[in-house]
Amino acid sequence: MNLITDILGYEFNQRALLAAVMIGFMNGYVGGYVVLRRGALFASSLSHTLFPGIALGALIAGLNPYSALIGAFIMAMIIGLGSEGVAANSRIDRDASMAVLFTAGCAAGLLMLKHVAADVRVEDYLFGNILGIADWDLWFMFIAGAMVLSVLILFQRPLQIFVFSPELAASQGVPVKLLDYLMSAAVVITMVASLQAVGTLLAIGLLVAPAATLYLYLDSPGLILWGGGVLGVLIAITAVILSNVANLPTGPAMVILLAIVFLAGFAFSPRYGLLAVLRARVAPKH
Amino acid sequence: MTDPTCGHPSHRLRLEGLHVHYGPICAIHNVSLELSCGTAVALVGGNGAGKSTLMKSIVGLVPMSQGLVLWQDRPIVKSTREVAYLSQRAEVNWEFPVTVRSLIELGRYPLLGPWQRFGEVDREAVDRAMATMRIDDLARRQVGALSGGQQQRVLIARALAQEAHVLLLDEPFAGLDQPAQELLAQLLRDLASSGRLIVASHHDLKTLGDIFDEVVLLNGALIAQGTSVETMTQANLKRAFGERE
Repeated sequence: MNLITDILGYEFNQRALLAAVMIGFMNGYVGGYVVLRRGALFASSLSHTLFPGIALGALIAGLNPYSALIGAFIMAMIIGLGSEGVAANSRIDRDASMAVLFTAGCAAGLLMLKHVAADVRVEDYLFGNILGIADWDLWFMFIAGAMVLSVLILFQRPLQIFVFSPELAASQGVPVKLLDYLMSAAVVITMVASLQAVGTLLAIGLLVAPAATLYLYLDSPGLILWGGGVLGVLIAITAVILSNVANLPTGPAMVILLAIVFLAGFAFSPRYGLLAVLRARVAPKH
Repeated sequence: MTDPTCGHPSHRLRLEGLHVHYGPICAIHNVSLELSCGTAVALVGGNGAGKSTLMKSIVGLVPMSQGLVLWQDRPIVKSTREVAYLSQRAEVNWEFPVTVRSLIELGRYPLLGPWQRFGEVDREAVDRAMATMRIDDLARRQVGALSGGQQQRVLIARALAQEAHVLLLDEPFAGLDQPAQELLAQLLRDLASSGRLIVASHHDLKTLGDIFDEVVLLNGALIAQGTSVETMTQANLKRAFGERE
């Protein structure tokens, strides 16, 4: 009990916990669609476009949260939509065109950073710093989270048909192209909103791991989406507490905790875990 | 209680002068057909004869370059729930974390819109679809844990829950063992008898006459349409499975 009051005694911890709740839920829920759609590779590539975006924003307006967020958003949209465009108009698939475009973006980002003032804390954007979160960041997370979640919940029925089978969805008149762009935009906004907390390198872990873990236990898209949100919150809060107690950086603590619960699920999930699969293989067949 | 998924023999699906191109390649050339509810129709032809393309163009998955598709004498609307296309079983992600019942419930979503509650009418429609396809006892199973025949029946049940009158099935018998094929054939015949139009691409020429009322022979263009006896002549088969004309 003392531990909790100690932690809550500091304003930066209160802000960190609020941020943990918001980005934990947003990432877990949005990540549910990423996992159901089998789009983790694409989302991972998108996360790499955030860094050159921050560099671009810094080059134009100096390195601050506003320029970083706007630059990251614009760059992710350009490269994400650009790779969709290349895939739609050539025989190259989306992942291959993304790989070319995002590495080019990263390289351009590194070149741009050469021209940015030397006192920037680039690592805050690479690995995040949830304890250094400002009020403005919290507002941004809250507004972005509310917008993204409202839209995804509004479209949850067509989205669930779409992630099961885009072809089936299209044959039922679901606007699949629109939903595809909508999901990409939701992923980008979620990762941008999480920048301050976990940084560009770790954002993909927070996004994908909660739903990937529940995928090992559950056979219900709805439970994976909402459960992913809840698991994201629990892990994010635990990481904030853990980083206070053990003096660990919060972003990496979050991602490591998520990896631990994921690996535990992979091993011990009663139906789809490794042990269950092995047990079923050696069980006598009738 | 009447089943809203059933069609009526007066309901017709008409294709008029249908052309489909993939870039410079003409996949479907000037196909005109009239198909009536209450019949089971086989699409027969070699690989690349345009069977899948024809079905996909009916539901708007592939754009037609020319021609008309009329359902009940009106140009077909892309989002019509009355016409359902079921892709090949192998193209579906069966690892998707969903139970049989929940997957069939997806068929109701386009009717409900974003806010309308999933109510008693919807539950009854799902129950009815599952009973028709004889999968009531599989409701709580994950779809990946089913046999091929059961998966095919689940896909059809989803289309029935959607209240489809016309079922366009891409290779429904592919990969099924003999008993599963026989059960599916029986169920498709029942669906046709109850007033629906069943259109399925089919490879096994020996079973054509047992399962289907009508055969449409394709080779890019329409070669013949009629009963299996009428259409399966040596000359037609040569035209259907030989070089493109």
